[in-house]
Amino acid sequence: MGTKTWWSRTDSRFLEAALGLAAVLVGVFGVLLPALGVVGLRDGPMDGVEVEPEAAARIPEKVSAAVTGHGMTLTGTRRAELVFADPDLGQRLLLALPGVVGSLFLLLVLVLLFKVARTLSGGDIFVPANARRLSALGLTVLVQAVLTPVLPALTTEMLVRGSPMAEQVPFSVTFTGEHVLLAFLILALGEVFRRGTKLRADTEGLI
Amino acid sequence: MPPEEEHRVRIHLDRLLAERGMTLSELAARVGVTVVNLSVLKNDRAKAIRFSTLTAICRELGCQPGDLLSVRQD
Repeated sequence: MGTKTWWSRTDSRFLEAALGLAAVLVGVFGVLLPALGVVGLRDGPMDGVEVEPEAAARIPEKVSAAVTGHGMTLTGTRRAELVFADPDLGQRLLLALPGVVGSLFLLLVLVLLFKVARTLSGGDIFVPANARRLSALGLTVLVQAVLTPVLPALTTEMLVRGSPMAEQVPFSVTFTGEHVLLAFLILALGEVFRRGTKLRADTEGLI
Repeated sequence: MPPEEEHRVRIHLDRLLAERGMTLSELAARVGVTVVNLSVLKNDRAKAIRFSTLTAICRELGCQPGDLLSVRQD
């Protein structure tokens, strides 16, 4: 189109490299290492989860004495950490699951952004594939926004169910609207791309 | 948006140019479009034509749109 832009091909290459590196780091530290920790092939902090204790447990005197039972210890006031002395495979899986699922979503977001960035360096970002990618990106963020608060609450509930700790750690889910809003913005952007590419296809070859 | 189907419109620009002894680049300069775009039109690769472009071409060639365009009958 002949218009000058401050964004160069080198910038696109840097963006691709940064997104690729981020995806690799998330894959290794967010998925691979926790998975190895779950199956016991790697030593690491795979024994605790942050929880929001029952109001009664927030009284400092009770908490300083620490609530114990079934090989678990609950310490803290407003936010507490539920620590397992010797978690088995199932417990390690439940402890790692929210983080791994969150990392998988982040990995998917990075892969989609990487593919969009590749079309940017190719010189044409307004292609139908990018409209589909942005829609997929918006849906991913939306599902993640719903699952991120629910999954830790569910796994924590499963971890403490049937133990005395269940009374101290109630089922608690706190939703925030920021990610939902972001998801709708991305979905709207995807729709703009879809209509824009359709409009361009309609005017291509216009003399 | 109309359904995607192959059009059957034919452009007779080459014949009109030959009859008037005019070159494509000369017409492009008079009409105010690029030779490349006019070449696309001449070779039946255009998907659409603006009324303003059509008016200018007809003005320079002294013809009507029907002289320039026709629909192929199958």
